Amino acid sequence: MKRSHISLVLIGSLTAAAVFPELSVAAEQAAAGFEPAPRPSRADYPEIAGVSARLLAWGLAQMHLFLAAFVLAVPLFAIGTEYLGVVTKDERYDTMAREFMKITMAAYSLTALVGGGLALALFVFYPHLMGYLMKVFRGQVLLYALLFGLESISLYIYYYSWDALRFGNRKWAHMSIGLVLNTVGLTLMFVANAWAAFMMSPAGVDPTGAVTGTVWEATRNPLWNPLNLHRFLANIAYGGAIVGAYAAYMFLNERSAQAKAHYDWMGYTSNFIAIAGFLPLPFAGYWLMAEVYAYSQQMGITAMGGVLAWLFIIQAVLIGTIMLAANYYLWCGLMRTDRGARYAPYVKYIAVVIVGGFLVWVTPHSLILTPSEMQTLGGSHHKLLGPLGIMPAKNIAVNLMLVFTFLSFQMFYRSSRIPTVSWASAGNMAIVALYVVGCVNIVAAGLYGYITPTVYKVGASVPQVATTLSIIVFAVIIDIFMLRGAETTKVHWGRMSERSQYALFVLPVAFTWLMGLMGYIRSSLRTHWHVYTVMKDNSPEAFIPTIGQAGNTITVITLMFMAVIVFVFWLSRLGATKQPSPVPVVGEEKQAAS
Amino acid sequence: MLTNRWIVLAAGLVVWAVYFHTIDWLIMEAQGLPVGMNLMPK
Repeated sequence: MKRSHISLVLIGSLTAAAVFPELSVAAEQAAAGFEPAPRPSRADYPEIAGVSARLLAWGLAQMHLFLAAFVLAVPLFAIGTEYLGVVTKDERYDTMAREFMKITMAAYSLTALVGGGLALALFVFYPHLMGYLMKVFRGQVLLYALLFGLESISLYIYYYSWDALRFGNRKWAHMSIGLVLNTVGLTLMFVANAWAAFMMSPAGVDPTGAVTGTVWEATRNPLWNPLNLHRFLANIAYGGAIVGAYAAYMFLNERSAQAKAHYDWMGYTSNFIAIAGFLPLPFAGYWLMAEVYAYSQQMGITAMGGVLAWLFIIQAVLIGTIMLAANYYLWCGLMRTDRGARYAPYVKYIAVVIVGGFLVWVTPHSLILTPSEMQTLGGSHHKLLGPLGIMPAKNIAVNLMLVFTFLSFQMFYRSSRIPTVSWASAGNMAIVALYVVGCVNIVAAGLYGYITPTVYKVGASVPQVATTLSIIVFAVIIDIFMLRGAETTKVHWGRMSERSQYALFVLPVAFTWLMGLMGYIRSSLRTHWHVYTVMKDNSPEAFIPTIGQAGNTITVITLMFMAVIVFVFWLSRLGATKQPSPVPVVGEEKQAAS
Repeated sequence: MLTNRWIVLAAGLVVWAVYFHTIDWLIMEAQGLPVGMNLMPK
């Protein structure tokens, strides 16, 4: 039965994928003639009560994206956790998966509310742009509405049927509903991504913006898939970070040892999910940026060599913060196991690599200097620190930080397992050799970038990525074989310092800030275009704001979102709180009398 | 021999070095960037 359910969902998804291009062709045939994109004048943009249209759309779009990223990501790992519960027959996984979904439910209606507000703001303040996008994407807009309806239905059924479909074959039926929910959710995201990506790299239109292609051609524009992958991974990392903060919130609030143990475990799992989504993210971001350069070199230079380049330094600070917080949490976690102390001496070396990598990453290449400062420095670049400002140094830094973050995970995992195989000592040496040679290779490939032309410098970053992934994959494979039948020692869940929980709060704050910042950069790459090179933005606010103004706006939106998240956490806790009856209930009275 | 961890370490260093060198070479070649050319400015 379980197979039939899954097959049904897969067949349904494949059929939808096959029919989708047909729908596109039908829509194309019904499309209007080859009219160019609208060219609205400044007077065509409505001015209502002095409201800044861009600020309103920016705030609502960002809030909607934060909420949607969270709401779409949580069911992805909730179903994974639920499946783990079935495989391991451990009820705790099932309870945790349900709790993940409980937080999502509290945030879902807010997502829809802000999304509705965004759509309204866009149609009111940017009617020409929205009219044009509707013309390009035609029936897909209705498909989006349909998918949203399906998402709501499947989400409610998935959550509310949890206890009704908990055991045996019913459990597989429940997971099938979860699969439908995730398929619909991901499709929703891919459709919305197509619109955002089309505005950056339009396809299916001629240079005047006239629609010449199918909806599918407009959808499958050059930046669509890099954006899909990047958002998919980022959503998982983000969702993990937010539920991790929820677990920390509950850990600090609960008093019973049992509840603390549960939320400590939930916090660890959430942190694991966040970092698992985060580790491949720089590579997805690299691909997205490479595709931006491939599509328009000018756009790429605006991002990384122009006015927006300084924001990448702030990005580095935020990613460094995430790395430090995640590692700190993992190091604190060593106290949960009795053998954890033996790994403590290695923590300081990992800390040196993480902090060192962080410092290299935040080192800027071009400095904003006064003439006297330049004279003192002896040029526009610092002699020693200047070389650390370019990509080869940053690639070395980020890859080593990722490798050592994985090492922190590995240390915790192994702190509760004693290998019993005869070749354990040799296996450890094979892993040591893997790390040593891998790190040397990462550094060497980076140094190679200094002595070769730019094309080699960029090309050498790919073997660095392959090296990082190789280290992780081979270390996991060796561990799997070496820890087979290992003697396990008790993990004292809940034996965790309170200050470690604040690291779990740092993660979503830094992630939210980072997403706001990078989303702003991505959107600003269009400069004074609504749709790049096709439809000009002639509104009064068609300019790139100063870094300070952008930073302040992003910070205010981040604070607003964090307030929403605290409200969601409070709601979730409130839902589980029961007021004790002021008078004994009837049943209890009878019981007491007898 | 595999029980002597120092021999395994030495062998591991060699094996992983060969592996990483090979993937470096293959990836660069696949990108149309032949390794070993004299790229230093003259």
